[in-house]
Amino acid sequence: MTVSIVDCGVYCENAADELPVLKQQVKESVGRDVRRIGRFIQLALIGAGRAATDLPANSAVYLSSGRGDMGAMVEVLDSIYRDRQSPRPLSFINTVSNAACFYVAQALGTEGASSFIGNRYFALEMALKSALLDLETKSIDSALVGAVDMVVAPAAVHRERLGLPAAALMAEGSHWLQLQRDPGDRPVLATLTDIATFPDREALQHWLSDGLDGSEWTLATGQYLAPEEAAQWQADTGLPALEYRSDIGHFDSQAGRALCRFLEDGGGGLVYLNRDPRGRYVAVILKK
Amino acid sequence: MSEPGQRALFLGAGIHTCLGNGVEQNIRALQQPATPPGLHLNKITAEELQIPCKLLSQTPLEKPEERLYRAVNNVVEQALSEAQLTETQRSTMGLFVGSSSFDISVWEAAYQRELMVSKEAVALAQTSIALLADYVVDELGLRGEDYSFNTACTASANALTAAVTQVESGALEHALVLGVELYNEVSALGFEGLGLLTRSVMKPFDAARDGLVLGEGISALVIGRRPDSDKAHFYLRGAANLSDCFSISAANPDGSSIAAVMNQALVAADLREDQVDCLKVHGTASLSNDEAEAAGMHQVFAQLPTLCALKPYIGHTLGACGLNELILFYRAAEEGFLIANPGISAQPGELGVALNQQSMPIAQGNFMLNYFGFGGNNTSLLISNRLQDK
Repeated sequence: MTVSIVDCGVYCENAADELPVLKQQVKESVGRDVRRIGRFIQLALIGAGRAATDLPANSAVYLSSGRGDMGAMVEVLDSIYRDRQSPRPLSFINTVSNAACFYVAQALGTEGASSFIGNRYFALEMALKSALLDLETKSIDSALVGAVDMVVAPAAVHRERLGLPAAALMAEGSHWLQLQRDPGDRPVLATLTDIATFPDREALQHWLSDGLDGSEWTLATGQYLAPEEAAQWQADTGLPALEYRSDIGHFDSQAGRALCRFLEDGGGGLVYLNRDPRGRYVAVILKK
Repeated sequence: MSEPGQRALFLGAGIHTCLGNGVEQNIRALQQPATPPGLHLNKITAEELQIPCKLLSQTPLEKPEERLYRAVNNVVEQALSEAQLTETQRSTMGLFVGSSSFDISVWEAAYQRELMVSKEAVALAQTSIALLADYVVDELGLRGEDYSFNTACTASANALTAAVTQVESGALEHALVLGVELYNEVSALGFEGLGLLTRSVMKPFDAARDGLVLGEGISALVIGRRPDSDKAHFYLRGAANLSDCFSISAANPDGSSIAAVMNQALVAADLREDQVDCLKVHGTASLSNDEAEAAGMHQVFAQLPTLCALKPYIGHTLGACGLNELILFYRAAEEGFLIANPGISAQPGELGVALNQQSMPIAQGNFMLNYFGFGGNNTSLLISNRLQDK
């Protein structure tokens, strides 16, 4: 079974010490001011709002992130260990990652399920897989699935947290897809036909050799594939590459950028591949 | 990948709470009255605070890294041993972790240590909520998928629901669900700051209720299909999760959002409300939760089923409470008794809710377990051990 992608929303900007103020973009995206929220939640609202055209009220929200709301957690830890004070109540409550789900659901008027699903290397991929299964098993009809990654100033400290070199470019990303089991007469951007995981390279190779039909395919290689291995997959499959990373700094969940870039500019089908340091692989298949 | 359609059975469980380490110790302790919490002297903030909490049994609050990983390893091994999976089945399992705090106790200790050396120390020097899952993946050599659910007090209940969906759809043969909540300063000082903590036994729905006690708990559950089994295993018959947009810190006090999630779970389980034999309440003993929960239950049930609460025994184990309380409930049922809360909400007070007062025998049945969390996240589970429904 496949599900339909009917909308996508993107915020993705390079970031350094002077982080842009997001308040106006939040208002433009969700149609109103949302007060007393931190940057992670703002990023979630901007991306989610841009993907929420005609979003049904029973939609489920699936939010993912490589590292979650680091801004909220750093604030609370500094309050406790630097200032030797208990955290402010709202700051503490906002450390739960699903606080962002709450604000997204409230701002967009949804009352379906909501979940925050973390995975260090396949954050969006695992959230998408959960949503796809829930749609396939008919426990939900509609889903808003996103990945959000933030930068916490100062930039030098944030690079240290991420294990990046001193001059590395960083970015903030919020990428969202609206999925429908039955889109009715709504325009469909693409169908999400499969998300599969593999214990090793051999299993992925076997699956790819069996799985692709005669469509015109494009290959997007994920950020955690080493350049040499990405080139090898390109050579092995013989598929043209989707370019989506050359103009953007590091953030943890770049799968969203690949999928949204394909939805905006691509044609035919997309094979997106990624791997984690343990040698596990994931593949996401979209078709227009 | 295997054929969908069969139930995902609860094949093996492990648990460590303040009541003991292992299912047997915990179930034995549930037959004794609940006890008040200990007090942990917190010297980190400028004002010294005594935090009421129920710590893991026989596990002093020291060396956070060793403490967390040793306890997790132990509980996971309990569940895996009981499930009797082969090495291949183990390595291909999916991992579903639910927690509010994951390994934050480790990062707190690291930050505190580093600040003593340098004021330039960096909070969260390297972090992700998925690092605990990464640890378990490496420790067990897992090649399956891993998911880390962070939805406050519903986290491990939602992790279980997702795991069951994957197994019953045929995407996975087996899954390991893990609930983890250990003492950490963020949660302790956060709840202290909210004025929600009590030093007495938690008394959900009671006129004398005055707050919650933080509890530590780690639990693990192996689920999978076992079509040749002749035992009446428990399984998740249906579940629902819904957003409650009333407030980020409390369910709608009119009970409507809580009633909605219970009703949806009943539909998912294909049950009527009068087919629920017993209900395990969320029961945080806070004014707002209990008011909303009571109102929700009265909207769903013309006559309330037998009710019981587990937080008086183990405290509120936050993101792990979903799995901790499910394991304690179903293992007590397998031992043939329904948990009692003697002396707590003995009579229906102004909320019209009374808890079970005497441990009573139970056999097969359908049981509802409810969980409600910060961030407007409400989850209702229906578990069953009826053979004919398997």
